[in-house]
Amino acid sequence: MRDPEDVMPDETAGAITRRVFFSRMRKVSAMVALGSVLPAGFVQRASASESASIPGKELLIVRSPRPLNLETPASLFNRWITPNHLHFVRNHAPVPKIALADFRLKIDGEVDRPSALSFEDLMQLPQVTQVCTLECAGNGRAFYNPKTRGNQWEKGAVGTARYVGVRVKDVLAGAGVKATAQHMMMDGDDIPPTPTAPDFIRSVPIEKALHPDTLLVHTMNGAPLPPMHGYPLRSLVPGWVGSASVKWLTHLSLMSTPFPGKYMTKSYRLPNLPIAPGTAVEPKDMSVITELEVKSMVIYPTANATLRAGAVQVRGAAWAGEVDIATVDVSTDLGRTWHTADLGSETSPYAWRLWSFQWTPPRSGSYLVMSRATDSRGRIQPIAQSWNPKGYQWNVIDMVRVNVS
Amino acid sequence: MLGLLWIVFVGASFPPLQQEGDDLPDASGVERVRDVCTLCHSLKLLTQQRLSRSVWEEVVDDMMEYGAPLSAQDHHDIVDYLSINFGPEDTAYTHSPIP
Repeated sequence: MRDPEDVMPDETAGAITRRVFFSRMRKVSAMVALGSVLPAGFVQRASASESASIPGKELLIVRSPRPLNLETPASLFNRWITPNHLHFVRNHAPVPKIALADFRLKIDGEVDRPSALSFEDLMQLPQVTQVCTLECAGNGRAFYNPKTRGNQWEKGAVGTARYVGVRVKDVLAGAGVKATAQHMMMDGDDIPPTPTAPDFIRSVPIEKALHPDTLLVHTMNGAPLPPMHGYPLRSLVPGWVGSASVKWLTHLSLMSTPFPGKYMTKSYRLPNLPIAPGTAVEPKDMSVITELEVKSMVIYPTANATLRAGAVQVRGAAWAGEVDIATVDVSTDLGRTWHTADLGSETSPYAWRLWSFQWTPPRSGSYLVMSRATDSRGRIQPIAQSWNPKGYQWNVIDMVRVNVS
Repeated sequence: MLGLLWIVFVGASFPPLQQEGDDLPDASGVERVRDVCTLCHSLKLLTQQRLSRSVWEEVVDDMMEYGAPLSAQDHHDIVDYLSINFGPEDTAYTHSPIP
């Protein structure tokens, strides 16, 4: 049990007021603008190299400073747990400031006893620790062709952290879930910039909500959730796309149908049938994305690295939503032959598995280092991707170009 | 009307920085992009994208639905601006981007 006072953030923990936050954002914008004076008519190309630094997340690629969307450079994934300062951020609206004393989690809808729980109330429930890989549904969007709308994430809208929190089923037990409750709506305190812009609200089926591993968490890697990660409370719907896990959570509502908002009915959906690239698809012909795909990435060597002749330890990570990674195979001859990688010793349900493979290039030259994961359910990474209108769930075999001198 | 007031409020609370967008390609429509899009979000959100005209149209339609104060002429000009300056780099589909 912890004292709620312990989790009151201070300036050093990364908590900042809304006013300071926006003042900082404006300064960051100024740096971006002043740092890139381009001739008239020149098309500025966003790239990793022009990232302006965000306090507390200085090493991340700034896809957008407002709202905050930050990507981890793949080269920095060198350990199983992603530290908070390196963990990606995907926000739809400004980061809200929530005072712990004012915090209430409202529970209503298809329950016997609508209620509002304080942070202290939540701390009375059994505390559960869960290591979990979270990945944005749009991770890898930049690789789609034709390009699709949204943040152009490459490889790093994914990360693995150790969370502590309470089970949703324990939280809901006090309210009494009715038999009519088929879905759980989650809403956070983030507010869209206009009244007509959709609020980020999501729902998950009741079976997933009541699963003992579905949590409401307050601690990330030993620290109170940083403000940009959802302070003081977020949901953690493990194995599902990141959008299923709602930050700054203040409202759960049990419903008989899925929540009908835009982030359920227009976004985070995939076509029911494979479609030709570039085809427009009606939302009714698409379904809400749930579980993550099987996926791997090469972390070392980094893209376009030059390696000296001799043995090199190829390293990476692999994950598969709700199930475990079975094998990771590596190819350095364009997929003609595949070699089984060694899987790392650190494991947890819902967490990625590090892997490594010792490779001795036969001669100097240019190579593609490829990784391909297979999960315990038999799912395997594809050679090519089925295109979808919003560029979700990219999981093609990863390929990194390296030069051996 | 309430929507407009809200936009004025948001604009006043988080004034777009004058310099933001100075590096946008200087072409017809750039002022409206700089003035209106920054009411709610950074220009990086759009400059990182390369979309076809029909997808930019969808995006600007959505932004108007969400409250962007744009006239029909603005809508036309902004879609023009975005699809000319932030259009697809290549249109041919390749089955997978080999690095």
